Amino acid sequence: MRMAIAQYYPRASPIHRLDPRCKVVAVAALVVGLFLRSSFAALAVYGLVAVAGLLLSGVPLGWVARGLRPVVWLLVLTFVVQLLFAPGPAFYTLGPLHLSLRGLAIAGYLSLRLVVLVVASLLLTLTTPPIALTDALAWLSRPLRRLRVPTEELALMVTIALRFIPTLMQEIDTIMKAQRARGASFTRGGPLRRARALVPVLVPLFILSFRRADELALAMEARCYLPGAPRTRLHPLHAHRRDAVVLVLVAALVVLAELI
Amino acid sequence: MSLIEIRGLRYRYAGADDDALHDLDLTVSEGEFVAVVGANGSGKSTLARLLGGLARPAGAARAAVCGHDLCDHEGHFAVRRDVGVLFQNPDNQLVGSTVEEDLAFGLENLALPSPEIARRVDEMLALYGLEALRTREPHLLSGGQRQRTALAGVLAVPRRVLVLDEPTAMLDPAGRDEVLAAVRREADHGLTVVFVTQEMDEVLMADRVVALASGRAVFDGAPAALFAERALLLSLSLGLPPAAEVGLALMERGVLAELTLTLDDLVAALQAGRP
Repeated sequence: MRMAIAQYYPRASPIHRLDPRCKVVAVAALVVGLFLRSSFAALAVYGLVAVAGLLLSGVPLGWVARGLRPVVWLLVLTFVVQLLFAPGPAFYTLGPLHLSLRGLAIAGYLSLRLVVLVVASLLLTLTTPPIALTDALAWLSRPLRRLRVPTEELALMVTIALRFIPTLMQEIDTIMKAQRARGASFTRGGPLRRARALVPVLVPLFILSFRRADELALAMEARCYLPGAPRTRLHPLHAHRRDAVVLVLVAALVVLAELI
Repeated sequence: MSLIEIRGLRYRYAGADDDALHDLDLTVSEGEFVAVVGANGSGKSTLARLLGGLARPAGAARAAVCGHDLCDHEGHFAVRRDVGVLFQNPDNQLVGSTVEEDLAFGLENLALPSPEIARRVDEMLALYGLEALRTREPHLLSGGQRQRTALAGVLAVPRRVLVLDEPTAMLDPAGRDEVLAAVRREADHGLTVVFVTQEMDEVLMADRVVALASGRAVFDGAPAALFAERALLLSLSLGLPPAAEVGLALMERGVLAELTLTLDDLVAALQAGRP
């Protein structure tokens, strides 16, 4: 069973090769910049950066579209609501419906901004393996350790959670088969009945997961894991000159977008 | 030299009415291969955990493992560095998101420098025939490959004693052979092994076997001597190795003069008796 977690698309592109920390910071800068200034010119700059990034990453556009699919409804809703309820002189009136040019502009702007926002974030998750992303976030949240936030432990927790998702999916599959063999049906009836049919799947899943967690904790201790003790990594994060170049470039573009 | 020297070891689980281990004695010399057998609930797994420093005994006259005192707070942590424990379910032991990440886990916990971790991981990948699976995710491995990865992960940290807690119980025959071959190789290279098992043909791999019943050691001797004590075997709900079951049946029918334990011995005996 192979699953796309966080839609990572493995490739050897210049974007894939960037340090994950650099990518997180760059995307965060783009997203913040996007919200700081509302102008079509700024939006155009951010849009071009996101599209250039996508093209460089070599991720097929179909794969990107799949990532956009969950926000399609939000997009449509944003567009329609803004179009219908924005004030301004109407260019078209049909009964209570009142469409204005200003409304059209605001609706277009907000929808496009949402698209750019999602594409920029997709650029990060499409080109960065989840584990590298976790490592980057752990590194970037290091200052929080001063406040006694166990950032290393949290990062390991996320890594282990990601590692166990496919294992748990296999387990759900096994339990569902076992319940089906006992006459359970997961497709019959309305939504409420189908939701209720999942209870006999979730109860054993939870029990098995707790047992699994106990055994895993023991195996980790047996391999000298001690929470809070300093650890090193097989693949430490390495920043290169190209990461600095990208950060400077992104910073310059954000400044440009905020000024025009 | 004895790496494990235990006298009068006791252990009781929190909330239990009775001790899981009573006055247990166990001595294991360096390089020795000792099997531990017993029915379910006889205390085998508890013993494996105590030896690995994963729990602290309730008490003992002496509980020295690799020079550390198991009863001592510091000692039971320190022993984890020298004693590796491999458990039954490989799924619940693999921490890394890929094979190489998993082999690195123990070394990362020791805070070794990254190049040294990489070197050791490469060594273990080669030794365990896992190079081609280096970046494979654990859920895409076969059962045997998972348990081999788990074993390589345990031994990536150089160990003096390997404790195995029914490591083949969840594997198919091919996976079981893979893991046993790896264990055999480590033992041949001088690693001290304590092998908790329910499989009688795995007992034959050992130099010595200790049988537990209700938390007490009731037998300590050579595998052949254990298999000669039919009454004791029955009382422990243990059987004979598969080849020995056949040998016994042939002996009862007058085909063989004495009991053979392994398939090789059985074949040799049959060939010797052939007209």
